[in-house]
Amino acid sequence: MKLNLLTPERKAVYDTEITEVTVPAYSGEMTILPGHSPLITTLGTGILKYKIKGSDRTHKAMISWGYCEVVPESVNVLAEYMQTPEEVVVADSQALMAAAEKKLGTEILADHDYEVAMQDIAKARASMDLVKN
Amino acid sequence: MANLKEIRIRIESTKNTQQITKAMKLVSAAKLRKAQHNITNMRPYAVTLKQVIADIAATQKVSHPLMMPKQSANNVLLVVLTSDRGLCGAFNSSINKFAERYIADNKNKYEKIDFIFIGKRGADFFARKNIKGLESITKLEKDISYNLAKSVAEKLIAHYEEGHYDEVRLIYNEFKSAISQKVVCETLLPVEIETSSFSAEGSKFAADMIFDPSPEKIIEDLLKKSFNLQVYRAMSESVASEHGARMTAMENSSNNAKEMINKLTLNYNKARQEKITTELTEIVSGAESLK
Repeated sequence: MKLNLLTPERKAVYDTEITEVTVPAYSGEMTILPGHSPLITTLGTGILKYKIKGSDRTHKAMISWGYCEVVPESVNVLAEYMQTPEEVVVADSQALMAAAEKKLGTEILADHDYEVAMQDIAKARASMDLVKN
Repeated sequence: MANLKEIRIRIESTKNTQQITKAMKLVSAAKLRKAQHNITNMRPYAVTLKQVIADIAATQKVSHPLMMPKQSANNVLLVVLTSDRGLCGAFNSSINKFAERYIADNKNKYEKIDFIFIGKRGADFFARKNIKGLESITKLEKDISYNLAKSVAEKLIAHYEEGHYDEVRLIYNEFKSAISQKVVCETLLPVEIETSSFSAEGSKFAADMIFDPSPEKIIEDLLKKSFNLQVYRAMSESVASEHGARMTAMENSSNNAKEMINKLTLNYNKARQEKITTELTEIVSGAESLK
């Protein structure tokens, strides 16, 4: 089973043979093993994990909004935003979270702004989770 | 004939200018490479996204309001994409001219044309003509990021969905090559998806494909993301064009400076020669008179 992980800004994982991948799917976290039936789902904000064939190490990345397609030969993930553990700056995430929380607590927000603030919080939380464990 | 000192000063200052333009050219070249890199990086994502939307639309027979063209377009929202900085040849002025002509041509066709300006140059140009945009997004960050494009795209979608506008169009510089840019006017909304080229048989989709959530919801999400991407692509192209245009402009001015220096040096030498000749004649005639 192959994994392709693409974002608008880069080609993060391409044509890499993997043994399993876990994605933050629309209705909850989901692990995909080889032989999974064809599936299309959207992804929320969360942590994506995968194991490259022949190695026991679990690779992790934080993604925010994505699309995941499982076809017999590969898993294709499109993520709008992603961060690897090396890229996370905890201070930045904390600042993002604090700003969004302050906005939620002090201002009356339109639907769209509310969503953006919630997304920011989710993003910051996922980034922090990513470096924690 | 100007005196020697004056010419010398002019040569010096032209040389300084040339150095600056040369440096700017190099900087633009490096930035252009980065911008081009951005465009290439985005391509696999864009291709996959487009393919998937077409596949879902064809196999699941779903559609979405964003894809439906309106029967008549009365209110148009025009997004004018320029840069924040000048010194890039005709880059901004050709956009501004194009937008101006577009307004003149279509004034009678539509009920209302509104603007959103991205980039300081366009906003300033139209502000002088007393045309105020709905919004001006200036102070673009150094590099256009996906996040910026996303926020712009979300605003456009919101305007469109609220029904204020029937069509959203974008005027920007399309990147052809480092030396050529083309001003284009692109329809952003409604989204045009070529489903005709993808038939249900041709797709790799299995018949028992599981959708979570429903295909309708997925396609809505995908369409919005694809729209964000389209805005991002246009912005990236515009940035690449800007650097390309600046590179050419700076190259030209470096060459002009060189020409100018040559001319001035020639004048300088002529003046020097003349001065020596005059001095010689004076000395010789002085010596003559002493005899």
